[in-house]
Amino acid sequence: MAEEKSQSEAGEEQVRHELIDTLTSKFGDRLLEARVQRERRLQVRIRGEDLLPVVEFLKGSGFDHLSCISGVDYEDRMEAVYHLWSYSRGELVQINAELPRDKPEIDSLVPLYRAADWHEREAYDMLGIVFRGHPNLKRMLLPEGFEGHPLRKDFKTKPMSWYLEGEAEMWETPVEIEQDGEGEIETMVLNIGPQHPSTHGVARLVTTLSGETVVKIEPIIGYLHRGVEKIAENRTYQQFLPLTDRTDYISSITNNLAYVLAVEELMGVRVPERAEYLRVILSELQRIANHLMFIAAFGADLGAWTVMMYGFREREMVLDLMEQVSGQRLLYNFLRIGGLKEDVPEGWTEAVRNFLRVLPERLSDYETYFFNNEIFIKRCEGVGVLEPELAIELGVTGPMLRASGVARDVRRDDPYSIYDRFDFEVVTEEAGDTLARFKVRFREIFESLRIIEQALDDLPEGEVRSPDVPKVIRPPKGEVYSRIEAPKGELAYYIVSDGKSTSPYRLKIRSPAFCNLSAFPHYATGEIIPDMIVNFASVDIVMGEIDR
Amino acid sequence: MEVKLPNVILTKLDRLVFDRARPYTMWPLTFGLACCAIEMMATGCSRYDAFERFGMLFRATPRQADLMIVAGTITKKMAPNVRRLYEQMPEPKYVIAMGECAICGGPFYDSYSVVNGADQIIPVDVYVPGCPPRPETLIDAIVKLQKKIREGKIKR
Amino acid sequence: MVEDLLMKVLRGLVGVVAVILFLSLNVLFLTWMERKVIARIHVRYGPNRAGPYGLLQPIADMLKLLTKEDIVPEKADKLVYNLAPVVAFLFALLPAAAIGIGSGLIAADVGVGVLYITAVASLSTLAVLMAAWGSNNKYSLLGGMRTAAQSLSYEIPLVLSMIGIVAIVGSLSTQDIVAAQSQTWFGIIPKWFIFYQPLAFIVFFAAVVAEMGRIPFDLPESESELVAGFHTEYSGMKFAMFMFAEYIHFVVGSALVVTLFLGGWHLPVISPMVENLGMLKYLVQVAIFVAKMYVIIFVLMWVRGTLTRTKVDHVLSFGWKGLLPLALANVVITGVVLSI
Repeated sequence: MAEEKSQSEAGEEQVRHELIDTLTSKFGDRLLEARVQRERRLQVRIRGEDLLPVVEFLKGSGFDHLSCISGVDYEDRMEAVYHLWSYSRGELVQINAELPRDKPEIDSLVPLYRAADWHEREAYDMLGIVFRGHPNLKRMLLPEGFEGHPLRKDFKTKPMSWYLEGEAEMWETPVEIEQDGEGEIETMVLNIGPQHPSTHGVARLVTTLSGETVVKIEPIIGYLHRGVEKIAENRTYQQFLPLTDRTDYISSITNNLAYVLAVEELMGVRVPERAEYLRVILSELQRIANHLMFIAAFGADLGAWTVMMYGFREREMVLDLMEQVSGQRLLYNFLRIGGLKEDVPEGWTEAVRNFLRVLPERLSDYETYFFNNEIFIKRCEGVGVLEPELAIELGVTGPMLRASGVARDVRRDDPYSIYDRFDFEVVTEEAGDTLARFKVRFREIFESLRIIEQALDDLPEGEVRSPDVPKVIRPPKGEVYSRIEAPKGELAYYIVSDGKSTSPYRLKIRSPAFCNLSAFPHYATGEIIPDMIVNFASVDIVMGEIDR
Repeated sequence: MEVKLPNVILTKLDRLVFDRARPYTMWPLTFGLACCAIEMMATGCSRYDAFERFGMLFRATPRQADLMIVAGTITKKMAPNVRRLYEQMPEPKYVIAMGECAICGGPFYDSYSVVNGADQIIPVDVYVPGCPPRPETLIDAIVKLQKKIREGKIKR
Repeated sequence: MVEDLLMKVLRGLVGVVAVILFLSLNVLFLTWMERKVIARIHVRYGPNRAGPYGLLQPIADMLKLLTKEDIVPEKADKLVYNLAPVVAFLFALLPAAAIGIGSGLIAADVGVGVLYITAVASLSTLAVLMAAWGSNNKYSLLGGMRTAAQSLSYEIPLVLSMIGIVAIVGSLSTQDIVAAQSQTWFGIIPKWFIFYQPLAFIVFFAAVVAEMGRIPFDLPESESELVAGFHTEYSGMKFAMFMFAEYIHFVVGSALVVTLFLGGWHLPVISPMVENLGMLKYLVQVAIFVAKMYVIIFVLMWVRGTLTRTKVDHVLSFGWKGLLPLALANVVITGVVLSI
């Protein structure tokens, strides 16, 4: 009680929270700070060495989803930042663990959450935080020989760099492959990618085969690592907006949305009603486009080029609608901090309604094609089963998690924008196999159509851009973690503002495909190559978002 | 004079016959790097159908491809692979640099891991501006490349 | 005596040239047709820039592939690598010699026709294995192994499904088999073997598609898994020869279906009408045969535009557990019916 009082005296009006009370009573002064940021957001600040007991306690009290691990370099100290979400309590806790800058070492969370594996590797790569006890702490996005850690503040980038011949060797990243083994079973190492028809971009899978059976898969990523998070530190808040499009380039509106929501929360800006509704309509349209693209690519991986063509044909309808409002086909850059770029053109809502009418008719063709097609069913049913417990432990989100029968959706559990006003079903399938993942995405299209219809019915008149947003955006000092349900899963932007500068002090993108891909080797081993290809396709990855 | 004759004939043949045929069968490599690859795929699909109509057939292996469309950001990690893919393609081969990233690094020009343009690692025949270029722009690039081949402007 | 021999040689030569010419023309047309048909299924136009309706597309492709640089991978087994496309091409041509496209219009009317065709056709697996091994590429190797497994498991139902027909006709010659289908019921309904042997037709059709390696059985070169399968490392002319061989398989396979089950060059009503027209008779026969062949080809393209690719284990179990028992049952039924 005493601590709570002193905290409330220290600054902002403190909201009491039973979890924080238990934390303070349990850990006492090992807790540097514990507070409620806002509804459903808690923050705990600790020293690095206290991490394991605190996280263990939090896991015991229901925080089962490790959303993100990142780090911030504050020049006088380092911080490892953990975001844990509790599916049962519906709350997110952010743990800032302070580390000395000259020796940033902290315990690894891999024994507690298997999802920590890739996150910690990335934090090590980008910031040089060493995670003690991590099973495989290597560089992930950058090659082993790379000097420095780019997201540290003393890492300087050059405005233009020529690609030097000598550099190539370092960047080439050969993998130490245990040579085609002898052992009990003779195995063969097959290197799939970075250029391969079914890697959806530039992913690389080093697979160990025994005959056609996949014994081991090691995904190697970073072939599209463009350093977006570092670039963010050199751009103003508005200038960075177009780059969010280019991370997940198949669903750019949702990326815009996650970013502007984060900045708006930092600034405390309220968005006009009409803009909120239009944002929902646009992001659901984007979800449809994304899922159509998924279906198309999935068909192409199965050798059904007709589906690919059909998927793109239907996707063009969405692109037309998007083009009418933004003038772009792929990367719209249409959302603005505090609203939208401009109002939608006249007659656009009618066009959307027309689309709502046409799409279900077209989709019935797909149903015939897929669900009456024995070859398709046989190829997907029972392939790559992901158990729900494992899925949660691996930090899998979005349609992939829902296909394992876990009805979790950020839109419903942690409502953002105005999603709490709409009536929609969180689509789940029980099987957890590739077919279920396909079905979930297919059925989600219809749910999105429902949301769009409701939003169109309630669409109010009025402004689309808040007048409170100044031309120079300089948010007050603070941190924000804004999560949304992107088409591929939980997408979050973690932004730190130092209150002085017009560009983010640190920006971290928690991309859904990154975490979903990290689960891929766990459920795809033990099956044959064709199964692996459909399994990989069912993750619905976009390399731009994974590598950033 | 007599020694040079066969060469002259061969060159004539090459110009008159093969350079007439080649523009219609530039088989591109199934190879996408980033955002532009999506627009490249859209260009090949039903609405635009710009590849099949021009006789272009996507080949997954570089050995059977004639045209490399560099669609997207080349990172330094990917650059050696792009170079190798180019070297694996048999002559005569052409390169289209699609999008700002492939031209000069685009919006990622100041990143520590991005190559500022495809022409730093491979020779480029046609540049297509845009971020990403619309399918129409890519079609225009294909037509320009066809013209270049027909007029014998591609030097090897 | 010498003149006799000369005539034989001359006749053989004419036959060989005719077969190659017939196949080449068809293959060239097929590559165009396939792209057009698939494009139409995809709601696209397909090639339409090279010549009218894109008809010169195959010529342009040929000319280009002819002058492409020929790359031999450094670590390839040079002899095997270079020989494979030639072998593939030759073995693809051989079966065509025993298929007639009109009465007497056959390069070599071998007594053991059908047996010869299946025997020679199965040899093309050898070429694929050679290419797979010679390339020294893992994708090629996997593709080659798949081909071997696939053609092994489909060869048997393929041969078994033909036994019924051979038993009915009492001859292995393709000429005799077609001749046995010339009759009609009531002058309209043809007595084709598809009506006598529907079960065998289904097995044969599935097996022949698998032998051709087309969707849904195109595992040996499935693009999304094995890049390009056994011909991943081949470029230019050598790749063209593989492609050529593949399309020849396509033509020969369809021709075989027509010969065995669809009455060859016979068509009720029309065939009897042209019986006494001399040279014109042959023209009509060829036209009927080719038309039927293209119906089969079109169906196969349609299948390609509609179905997805199967999985390698499904393909094998379908061959052994599905087609083989069916084919055996067909043999038994035919035997019982014939002996009654």
